Amino acid sequence: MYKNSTNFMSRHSSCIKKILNVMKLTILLLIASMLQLSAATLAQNITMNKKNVQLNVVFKTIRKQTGYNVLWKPDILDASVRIDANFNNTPLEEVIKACLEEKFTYAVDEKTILITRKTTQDILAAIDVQGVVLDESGKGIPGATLKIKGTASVTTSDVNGRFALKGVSENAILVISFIGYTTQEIKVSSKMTINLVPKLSGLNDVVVVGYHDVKQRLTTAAITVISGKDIENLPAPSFATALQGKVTGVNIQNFSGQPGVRNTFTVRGNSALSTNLSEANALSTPLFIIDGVPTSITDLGNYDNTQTDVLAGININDIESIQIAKDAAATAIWGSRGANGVVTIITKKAKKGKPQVTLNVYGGFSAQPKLQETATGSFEREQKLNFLTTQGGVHAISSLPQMLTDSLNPAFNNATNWQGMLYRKAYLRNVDLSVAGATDALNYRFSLNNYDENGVLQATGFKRYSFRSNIQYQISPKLSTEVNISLSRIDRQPGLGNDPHSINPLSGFNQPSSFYYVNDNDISRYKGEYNQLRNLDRNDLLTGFIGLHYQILPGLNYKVEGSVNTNSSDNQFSSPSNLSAQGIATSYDNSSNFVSANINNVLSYTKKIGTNNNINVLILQNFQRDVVNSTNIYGDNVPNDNIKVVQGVPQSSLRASTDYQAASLLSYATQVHYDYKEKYLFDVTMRADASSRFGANHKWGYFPAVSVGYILSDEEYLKSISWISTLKLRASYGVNGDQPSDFYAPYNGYNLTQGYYNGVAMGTPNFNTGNGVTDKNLTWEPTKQLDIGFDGSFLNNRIYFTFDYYNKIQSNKYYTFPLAFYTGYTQQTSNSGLSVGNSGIEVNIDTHNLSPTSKLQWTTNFNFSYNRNKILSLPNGNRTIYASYNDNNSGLSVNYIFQVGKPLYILNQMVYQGVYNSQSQVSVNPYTGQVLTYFKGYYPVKPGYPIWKDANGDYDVWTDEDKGNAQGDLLPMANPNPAITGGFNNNFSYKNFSLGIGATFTLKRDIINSLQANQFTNWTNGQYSFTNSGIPDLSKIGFWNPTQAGQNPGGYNAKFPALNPNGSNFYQFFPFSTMFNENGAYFRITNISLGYKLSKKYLDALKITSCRFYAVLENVYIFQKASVPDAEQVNPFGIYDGATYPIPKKFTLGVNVQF
Amino acid sequence: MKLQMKNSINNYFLIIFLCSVGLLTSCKKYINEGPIDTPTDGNFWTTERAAQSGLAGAYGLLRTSLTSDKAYFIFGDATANEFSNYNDWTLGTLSPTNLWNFNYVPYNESVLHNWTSFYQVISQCNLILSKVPAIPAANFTDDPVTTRNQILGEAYFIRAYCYYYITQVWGQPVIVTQGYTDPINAKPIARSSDADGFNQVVSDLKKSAGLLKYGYSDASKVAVQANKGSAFALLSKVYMWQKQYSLASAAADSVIQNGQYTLEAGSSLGNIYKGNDPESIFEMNMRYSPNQNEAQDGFGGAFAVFLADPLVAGKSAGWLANKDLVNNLYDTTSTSKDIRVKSTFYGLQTTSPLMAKYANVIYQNPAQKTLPFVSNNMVLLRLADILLIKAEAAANLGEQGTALTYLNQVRQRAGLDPYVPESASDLLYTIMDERGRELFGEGQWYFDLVRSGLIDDPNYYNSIEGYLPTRIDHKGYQWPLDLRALLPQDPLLTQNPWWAQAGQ
Repeated sequence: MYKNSTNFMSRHSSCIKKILNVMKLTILLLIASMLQLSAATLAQNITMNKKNVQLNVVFKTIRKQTGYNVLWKPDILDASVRIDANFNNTPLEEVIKACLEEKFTYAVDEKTILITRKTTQDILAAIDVQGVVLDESGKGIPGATLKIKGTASVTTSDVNGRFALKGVSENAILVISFIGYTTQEIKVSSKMTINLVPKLSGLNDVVVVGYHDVKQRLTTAAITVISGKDIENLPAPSFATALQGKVTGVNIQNFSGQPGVRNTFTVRGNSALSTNLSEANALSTPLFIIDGVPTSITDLGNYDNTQTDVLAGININDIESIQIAKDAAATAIWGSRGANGVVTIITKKAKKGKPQVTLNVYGGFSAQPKLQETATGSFEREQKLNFLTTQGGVHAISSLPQMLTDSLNPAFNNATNWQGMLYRKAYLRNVDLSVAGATDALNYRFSLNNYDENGVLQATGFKRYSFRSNIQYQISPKLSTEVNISLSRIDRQPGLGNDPHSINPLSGFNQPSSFYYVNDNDISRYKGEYNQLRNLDRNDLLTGFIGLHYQILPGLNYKVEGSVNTNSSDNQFSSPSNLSAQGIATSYDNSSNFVSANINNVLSYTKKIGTNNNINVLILQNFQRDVVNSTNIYGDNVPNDNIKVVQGVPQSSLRASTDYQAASLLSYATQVHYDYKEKYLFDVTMRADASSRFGANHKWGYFPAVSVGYILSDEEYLKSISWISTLKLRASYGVNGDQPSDFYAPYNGYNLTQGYYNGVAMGTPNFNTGNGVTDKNLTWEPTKQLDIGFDGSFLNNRIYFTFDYYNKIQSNKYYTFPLAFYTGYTQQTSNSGLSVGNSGIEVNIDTHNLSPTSKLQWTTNFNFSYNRNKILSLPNGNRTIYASYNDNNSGLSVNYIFQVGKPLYILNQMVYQGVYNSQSQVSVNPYTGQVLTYFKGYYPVKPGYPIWKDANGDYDVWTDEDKGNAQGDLLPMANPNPAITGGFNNNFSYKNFSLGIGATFTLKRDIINSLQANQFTNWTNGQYSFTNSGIPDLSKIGFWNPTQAGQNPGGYNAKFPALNPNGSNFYQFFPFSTMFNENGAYFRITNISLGYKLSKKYLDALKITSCRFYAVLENVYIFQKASVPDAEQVNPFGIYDGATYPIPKKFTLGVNVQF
Repeated sequence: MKLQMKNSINNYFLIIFLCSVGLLTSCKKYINEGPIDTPTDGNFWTTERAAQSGLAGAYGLLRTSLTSDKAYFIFGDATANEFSNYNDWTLGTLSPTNLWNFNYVPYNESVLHNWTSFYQVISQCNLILSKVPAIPAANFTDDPVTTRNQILGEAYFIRAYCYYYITQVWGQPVIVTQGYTDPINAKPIARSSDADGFNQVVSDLKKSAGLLKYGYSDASKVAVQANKGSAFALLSKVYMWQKQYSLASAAADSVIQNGQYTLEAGSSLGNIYKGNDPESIFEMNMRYSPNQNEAQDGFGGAFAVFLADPLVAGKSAGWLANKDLVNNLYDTTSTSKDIRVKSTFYGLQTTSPLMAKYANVIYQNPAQKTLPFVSNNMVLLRLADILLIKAEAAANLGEQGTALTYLNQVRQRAGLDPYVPESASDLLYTIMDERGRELFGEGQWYFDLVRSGLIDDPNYYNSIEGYLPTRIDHKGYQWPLDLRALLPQDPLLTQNPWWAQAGQ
């Protein structure tokens, strides 16, 4: 606002007049600066004689004597400066000149004198400028600000991004700015095309912290924002897959490549611990807030029949932004559900301007994956014969199986790589159509999507049909409403079953030998399972959201929001009689409907006190109710194979059940933000939650958080340092929690479904489950988290850097305790003395490598996080817990140990140190003279045996669990938790071309090649087992060979011990030793995308707004140390069993057209 | 006009706000909402129907405990060498065939060294005993007093059976007679002595006999639910453990004279195991019924271990009858009069003799002979057993004549000539042999040999190898406890002496 020497306000009480005046002055200013308006018209004279008088007194005198108002900007001119006024009938022009220093000039309009800073440039020829401002996709940006540098000359671009400026100095610099884009300075020319580049620094973005919308600059929370643009058009069913390598602190491992299957998504380390190990409960997952609707994947997963990733119901191309809230400042407001991070997904809204219709289509294929290396035909025969004779000795030679010796037998004269039969090249396509438009009152966007991906394994695939409508309507100046509806249907073909390990009948270790003659029966036996099974996983997801916003008083807003979120999941299965060993056809239909209703009442108040104190207070009430209805129907003995549903089944073969479960959560919360000068920031959050999932004595939980921020760069001493754009320090500490996934965790249900006795249903307490006992004290798992962070942007925001240190401790965790046998109850899940800590650092660097005006643009994002996971305390006085995980594929078990100070899920293994080459290397017990033995004394160690470390020094190496000794010779060895994960992403653009390369990496992770363990174990089960199995090139494996050992006993280092199919089998190839541990580090180029946008002249000819062609290569290449085909295709326990779905390469081509 | 509209909007909001506040207060009731898909402790024990269901639960849990991992037959028969290992890993790792002599316990048959499932039955009985008396008379559909007594009497019987079995198998039970309402904070309890265990059984059985009646109200309950006869039958067997022979004899008399049981005809011995037989005193219901199937699977169930093709189509053999023992016990010559040889065994002349007491196989798909179920009941107490108890008690009391009467009653039914004793010890050996013949494959004989001390009797022909006197002296006939699993639950638990010394 300009200061006026006269009291402007009293003269012109009408607001409108004031605005008009301001406008007028602005125009004047423009003209003055552009035309260097002459001041020669000031003809009146002044008389004033006063020493040491303030300038504004002089100006007042001018007004009195001449009627001219003098206007100035107080930040330019300090009117309290004193001068000696010595004017005697001096012309006004000279008076003004005398008052002002050299750097000022002035302009006159009617009765107003406007003082401005003098522009240094010379008066040059003026030109007219016309141009257009385009975004990175070549679309016009409406509303961009265009300012001539050093002047007040400003204009904005119109709906098409066009602008015009008249009479601009030839040398003028045009400053173009728009929210979310890097401000550019370009020398003017008469025709200008300005391509704005999205801003690197997200500090002006608005982030959602709980129920607040906050400028990222002013938040004290650790939140990472990912723009929908960064993941758009990536050929993946779920955005979760596409986020890999883009968010620091988030570990996404796609251990299955099956379309539509949920993979891991953990924020700041894992804290889930269970002794009943399964892939589903291995990792903690965050809470997802999808357009204001809280969605718990864990809850949904518990009552789901399809095991489809419900996040895949969201069309990636509908996403505007994804915000990952990590620290307590950001997540405490989610109270009992925020302990594992909160991911907020905001879908697209229309931008102001004319309605836009966008059609986006892409299609492509997934290549058949690389098969496990397999020896076939005569090569296989030769390998096996050699192997048996060298390893097996005389016995083997005398009794070679006919399959090896009878190469002329047509039954054994083939060379089939069986794996190949089940894989295929699979096609995928995606179509998006959206209509969006906005006026001052109405903002709408509708989108339709169809995504259809076939899996590389037969009978697998994923189809999504989705519709989304986002409407915001301003009913009156104070009242607005928002209605969002989203519908999606997901049909997933899971192939043979929902278990990710049973997806391929021939995967893993049990490949048949290539010799078998492949007749139609064999083919139909293997393929038939796929072709004749009907196995449909269907999810119908519906979300409805309605919000009413009312401004009660300026600054005081009330918001009521209601939402309903439903997931109907249905698994329909039918298997014909010829696929069953008993010869019976089976059908079943399991369906469930999960409805989550949510109501929020939010009252918020924003107030500026004085000029420097900003305060924002929000209070809210929230109620959420989740209800699940499910129906399960199962029928055996379906009378005809053409009946693929449960019909005509005899009464005795029919089973059915329905279920209804409900859970509720009542909450009150408050968020207070205060800042001083937008420089010192202070936030307090408090939430109270009461949950039906808790015991009567502990219904309520309280979750406070405090956080502070300090924008260092606003301090004067840093302002002068030009290379620092922004510098912010943040710290937060707070508590949030986790609630049990079981709706009725505190209740002791009675079990009446366990069968009958003499026709009467058995009714007993749940003696064997985790909630057999009424647990009135069951309550939250509190999580305390400290976060210290630092955000900085440098060199005009060309480098943006974020660093966070965090320390997160989850205590009082649920743990399933064994109860005393004499009570009848075997176990109870309750709060325990178990606590888990995750601490680490997160670093994110975004750089704009070339000048913003350069034609070639290159941006880089590098991020990584280091997480250290540690068990801090265990129940029962820190007693070590042992657990084992059975490989789903083979049943071989792997031992885990939970020990204070050690990470979760560390493997308890015997240490493998190579192979004995000679008997002299084997140690002898000095007390007994007995040679070292394996397996409880049964196998005296011989050359060719593995060197297993005798950890307990008893001259026998074994796990010893059957002797009641928990540890035996096991030691905590492999750590399957990745310590470092991150991403490296580069984007290039040149003229109409763009190129993006995304990469992700995982470092410091141990994985177990249990596929190899299974294969070798299978081959040790006798020569027939060996002969019947498919093999890789055996000579490359590195089994110990007696001949080589004899030649060089000192220097021979075989990779694996001797494998003799007919020899002694003391389980030497079980993964209970470290023999199959491998380095799980990898660096994967996840995608390369190439884009080309059509230039203006073609667009005009085609009468379209924009058109972009693009090609994407997904899963391009993986660099890894491990011998497994894909070091990422490893389950959360670190196990690669070769049975899960391979992660395929995908190639797509697409076009995006806007009308 | 404009002002008015503004006011109405304000009012509208006030209404919404008040409504939502009201809604939220009513929400509080949802916070305390319990399940409707399952009863809980608070609302289960309220009707006769629930009590009957709870009782069925106790029987069902007992059935599960006895059948899981074939425990009943491993404990009572395999240990007495009635079977030889054919293709069964469990028996292979336990039995003398591989020289283990039951001195090593395989780790994956948890029931062999973990008695938790029996304590679940006891816990269920304790619940019935504490909850059923509180069910209001109005909530009974039958006569409240009689029905309540019947239910409580059966619960006492089942609890007694569990303590009897636990004391037989592991010894030194932890005795619990109250239901636990707060098992999380249960205090450690030490083991009692074997004698205390049997005393508990006697005490429960006396209560049971006091509450129950002879006979059955309903033909479908014959033998599959306990009655007064069952209580006396078990009482007679406990007294034998306690060596209270006159009490045992009296209890047996109650069964024989008042129990209304009759011996099945020798020509149809197979009927005993088909359920509800007049000879049966107590048995586990395991018959096939299409809708509430309680039968054991023909391939993997507890009975399946005895069966093979052709008794179950397509099944390979599990346990084979131990031919040496069979030839010792029975007259298996072609002139044999013992009709049990034919009814008990199948293919005795072949290399794969099977025990065929439980071979009433029903195929769910009769045409293809697939989905087989074994529709037999597991007989735990029957008249022939009690007759022999009576004979044994009498022999111990020196009443040779009485002993012979009852022994010969059983022999006669089997087609054998009456036994003429040569000496007192010979009579006892013969009674024990007779038990072996009569109760082959019925989970009894091992305990009989232990109870009578014949297990390591050097003069007894069928004593069991591997059970040397030192082992017996240290109670090495009892099974060990899995302390790795159980000790953390009860710090006062101790290992059985012989196993503690053997280091397990």
